[in-house]
Amino acid sequence: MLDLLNHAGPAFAFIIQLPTLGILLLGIILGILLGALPGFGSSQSMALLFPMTFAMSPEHAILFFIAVYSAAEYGGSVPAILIRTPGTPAQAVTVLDGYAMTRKGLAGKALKISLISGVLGGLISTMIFIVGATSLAEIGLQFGPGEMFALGIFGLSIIGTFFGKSPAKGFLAAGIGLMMGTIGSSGFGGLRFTFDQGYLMDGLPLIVVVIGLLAAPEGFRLLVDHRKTIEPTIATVDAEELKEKNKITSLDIRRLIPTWIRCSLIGTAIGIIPGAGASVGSLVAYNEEKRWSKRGDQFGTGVEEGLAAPEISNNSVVAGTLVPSLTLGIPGSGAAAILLGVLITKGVVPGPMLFEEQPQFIMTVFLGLIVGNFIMLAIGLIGARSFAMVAKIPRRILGPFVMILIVIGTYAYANYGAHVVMALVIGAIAYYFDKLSIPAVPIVLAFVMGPIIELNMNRAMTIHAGDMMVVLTRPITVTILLASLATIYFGISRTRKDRLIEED
Amino acid sequence: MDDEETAVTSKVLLTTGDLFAVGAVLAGTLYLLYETFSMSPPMLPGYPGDSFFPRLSIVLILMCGVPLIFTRYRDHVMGRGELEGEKDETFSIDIRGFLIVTAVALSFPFLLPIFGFEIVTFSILTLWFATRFNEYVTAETMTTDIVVKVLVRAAVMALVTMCLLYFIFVIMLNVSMPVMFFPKYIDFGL
Repeated sequence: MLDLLNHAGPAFAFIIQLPTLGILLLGIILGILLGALPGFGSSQSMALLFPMTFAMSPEHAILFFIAVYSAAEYGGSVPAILIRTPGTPAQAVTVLDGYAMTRKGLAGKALKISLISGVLGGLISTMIFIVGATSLAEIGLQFGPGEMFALGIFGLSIIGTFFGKSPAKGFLAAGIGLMMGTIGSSGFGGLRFTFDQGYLMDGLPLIVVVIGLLAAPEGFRLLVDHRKTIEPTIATVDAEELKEKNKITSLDIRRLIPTWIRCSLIGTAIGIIPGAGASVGSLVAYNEEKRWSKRGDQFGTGVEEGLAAPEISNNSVVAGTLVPSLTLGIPGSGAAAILLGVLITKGVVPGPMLFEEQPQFIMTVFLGLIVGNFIMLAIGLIGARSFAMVAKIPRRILGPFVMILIVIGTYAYANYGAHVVMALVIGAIAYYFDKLSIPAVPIVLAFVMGPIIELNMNRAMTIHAGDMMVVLTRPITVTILLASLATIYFGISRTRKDRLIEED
Repeated sequence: MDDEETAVTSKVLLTTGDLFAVGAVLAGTLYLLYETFSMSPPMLPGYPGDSFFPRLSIVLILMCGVPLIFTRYRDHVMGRGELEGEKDETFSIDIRGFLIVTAVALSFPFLLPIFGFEIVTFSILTLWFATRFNEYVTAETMTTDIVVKVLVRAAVMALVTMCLLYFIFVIMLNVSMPVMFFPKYIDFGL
């Protein structure tokens, strides 16, 4: 921790350079704009903006994506509050009290509460991130390859269990992702599943997989399903008459402080758990706040705490997901997988050694999160209402723009037409899978984690002369593997219970 | 006009869709399992070798896929999902629209080296925008004026979008894109 603080000066000097601030600003504006589009969550926004990182250094690339990630979570809330159009499921909870406030003529106040809550969530969880991440990295440093392999399995067990409606489909998706990760060079000098095709020799590029699985299905939805979409209607609010009412008073702040504390902790904790993400974070925070708040019975009618709870939780998840991603190399969400992917493509290996070998990089991420949140506060205060206009762009105009961006972005990665074909084929399959509730995010996560799991497994088996039992029976490994089994059991029994309730 | 009426969508039973998708995944997985037997064996004792991890992944897919396909087949035979009112058990897909969109998007990398970025991007975008602007026009209400108006609007939108994409990718990100006219006439002063 102290070693990290020694790098605060150089990291801060890097952050306040004009190009770095410019990249943060650009990331925040693009994140808010894309996040405000219906259907575009943080991972879809990042997948679409992946080509923008080609010319960036690792530090600039991760700062850009962190800015996009935080801003997209906030951006989705603006149309949810103003025009009852949540960008993603995470913002569906925001609609309950946010839109109710708009209907009362308190749109300005709702936007301010959403912004301040989001920024506070980002700041509080960043503080927890730096303490939590350094502690977890120190524990991670004690782990050998066997334990890291078990951790990878634990990550997969959570991802398979909690993504989508059925654990069977979640694990099937994770298996597909693992298989996709084995294409190309094996690490032992051999080639796997290349079928004598030159473009498969280096494996499937991450950008192609990310764009194909996360962005392309949205492109297909906009172009193919556009006839079924309902264009949002604008709430008729005369905010001018209620200018006084739209101010945040000291009473409001006193009421909101406990909510901010509780829900930022909930959001960060949920962010740390792989697979949970912003949707679960905002829902859990809202439900818990409903139980704790003195005005819990009025939730859904336009109560400030009911809006602040999901908003602060949404943004707290961002720094939370960075903890397992950077310290253990286990991405907690699709967005975190993209972040890890960017780092890996730039030659930065996530894991506990990152904290030992590149403390300045970690400090840059930490300070970038803080500075990024302040920039978001400024941008949000200036242009919140303008950002909501984005959600009103007709889908029929948006579809061609998104799809051509996907095609050109994939082509631009290596000026290679085969990549476009791969991304579109993967995207078409993901679009069909989505109709069947086979989730795409576990495929991405398993694709990113697969090579790391395999590398650790190979190392562990080599150390123990190929005896898998020795690897699997070490105390920490056994504990982690038992936790994985418990997770799977819990997931399956939960699904069965839900199904029985549905059938009744 | 009712949105559903304009779309050429097919309703597919979820069980049928699952059977097709999981069946295809399992068939592909079995083929990949067969492929693992032609991979080189481990060079030294203790090394898992090329095929070890893919086989573990295949086991995971089979463990989830086989029970899934059996339960969905049982549902299919029992006719679950065909009951009236069970809307969740079906999904709709516009197969024709999906194939057209995919084919047009796939044509991009093949046409790009021949016609250049500007013509290909402009043409694809014009086509997509024109079909989008035209979606509520029926055969009865369609006149030459409307068609021209739709085409002009689509072309203007396509031109603006193409210029924006050129600026982002070629000028800002310095991507070497096969271009036909732009470098000669537009450099945005950069």
